[in-house]
Amino acid sequence: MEKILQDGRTVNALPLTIPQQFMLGCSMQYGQGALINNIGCGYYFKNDMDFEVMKQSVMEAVERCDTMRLRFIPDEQFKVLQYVEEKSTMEIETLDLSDLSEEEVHAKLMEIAHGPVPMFGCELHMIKLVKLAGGYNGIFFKLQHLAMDAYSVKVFLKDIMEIYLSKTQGKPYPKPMRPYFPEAAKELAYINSPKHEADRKYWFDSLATTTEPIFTDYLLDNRLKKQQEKFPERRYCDIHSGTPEAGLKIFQMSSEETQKIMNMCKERGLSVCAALSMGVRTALSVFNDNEQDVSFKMIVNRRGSIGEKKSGGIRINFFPMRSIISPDTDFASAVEEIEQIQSGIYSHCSLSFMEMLALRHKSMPETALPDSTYDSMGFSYQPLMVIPNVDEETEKTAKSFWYNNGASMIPLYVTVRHRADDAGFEFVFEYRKTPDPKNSIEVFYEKIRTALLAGSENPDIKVGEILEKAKITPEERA
Amino acid sequence: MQELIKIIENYTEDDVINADTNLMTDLGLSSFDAACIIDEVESEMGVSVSVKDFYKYKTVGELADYIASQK
Repeated sequence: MEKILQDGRTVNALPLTIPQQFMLGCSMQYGQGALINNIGCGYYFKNDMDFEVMKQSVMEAVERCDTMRLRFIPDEQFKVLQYVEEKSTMEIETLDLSDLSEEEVHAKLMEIAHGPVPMFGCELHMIKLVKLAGGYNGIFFKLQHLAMDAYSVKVFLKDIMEIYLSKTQGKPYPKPMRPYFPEAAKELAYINSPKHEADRKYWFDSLATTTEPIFTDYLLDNRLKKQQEKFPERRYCDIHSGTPEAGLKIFQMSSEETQKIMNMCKERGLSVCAALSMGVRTALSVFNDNEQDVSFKMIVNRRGSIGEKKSGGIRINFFPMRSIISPDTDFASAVEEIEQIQSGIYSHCSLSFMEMLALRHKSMPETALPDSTYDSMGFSYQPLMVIPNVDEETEKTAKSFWYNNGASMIPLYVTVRHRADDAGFEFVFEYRKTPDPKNSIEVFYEKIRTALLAGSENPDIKVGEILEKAKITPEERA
Repeated sequence: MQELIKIIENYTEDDVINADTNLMTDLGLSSFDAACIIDEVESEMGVSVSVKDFYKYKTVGELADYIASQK
């Protein structure tokens, strides 16, 4: 902890944590002028919202959440430091968009979400209350990703809603949030600790001392196959695209189909995250001639304890998720294998992604380029977070939207989350536009869906049978 | 049982945890929570619990009985 003089008073400051350093590094390396550090999202519901009370609720929630008052400053050595401002100076204005159509509203808010987020010496975040047509109202956020991640946003939103409901309906006031600095300090203390050494050993043993993985592509125009025409032995792929410009495609799975998958997990005692990972790895297998050895990046929000969950900030990290599954394995057993791999990852998930890559490069050919990889895509699951005590009308009509910022630091990032109104799965594909994926994204989602439904209808079905069911048709390939 | 409850309390804001509490449906623990709890059970109680067993024993009481049987 450092003491710094800020606006005439001494405040405690900390350097950036590993996830913050990684995020900042990526924005400098991949941003190329595009913005990848902003998060835009909105939460809307059909109810007579009391705008004045909601504004007070938001301000109280800002006072309770340290990273909503976080500030970054560069020190004399151009190192970035962070401190928590005591009082927020945020202005919360109301946007009356009630004369716009839903499409126009989202275009307008998308435009705001695309705008730059500040970095140094000022408020990092923007919050607006929005009035929409048809009796809908809500809250719009544009946040600095170095201070808040999707998990923090959800916890913050839950806090706002609980404060609002306590003021308007007498529901219980939410329990306190947790301070950010103790958690950030723990993150910094990890560097060079015995746990860091143990994690390095775990990843070294599992990455650098095993057989070389093989790149599995999400594009129908398989890039490794093309590169193998010149280099037949190559197993990694150079996927440098030249631009981080990204598009967004969202696929809605019905609540009935979602429930089928959730029920199967409950009945068989399986993790939903592992089942969804099985869907993703099956689609990758189908796209790569039924390859048994499949790798992708698993994106983990490292939040277990209440202190970690309720202190804001960013705690995301990336991990290579490699599974080798035979077609003779049944679906439920394959999910259990994935659970086992994920559990290993979770127990050693504080090591920085750059350090992990350095360990994995030990098993890669020396000529490997910086953009050479075995993972074509990343995946994360955001479990349902219930806002308790919401009245039925609000619950039924609640909608949440995430506005992409137009750039992505990884070529394809698939996030599965639950819809606010009926808890059905929403598959969000943020993909780089170069190279043009053509219809790959739509076909990829269909293969994930086919695999998940086949497995939830019959958990004893063999993986080989699922691969057959999900075979790419000539029409899909055309 | 109390030792296990003390560990689990660190992962949830639920005030009432007892033998009948369902780990997933009542407490809404995620797979990440499960992995953290398994690690803590191993370091604090000296018992190794597999992920499969964690999901198999649905309530706090069932998991506590299993841990006791492994000691």
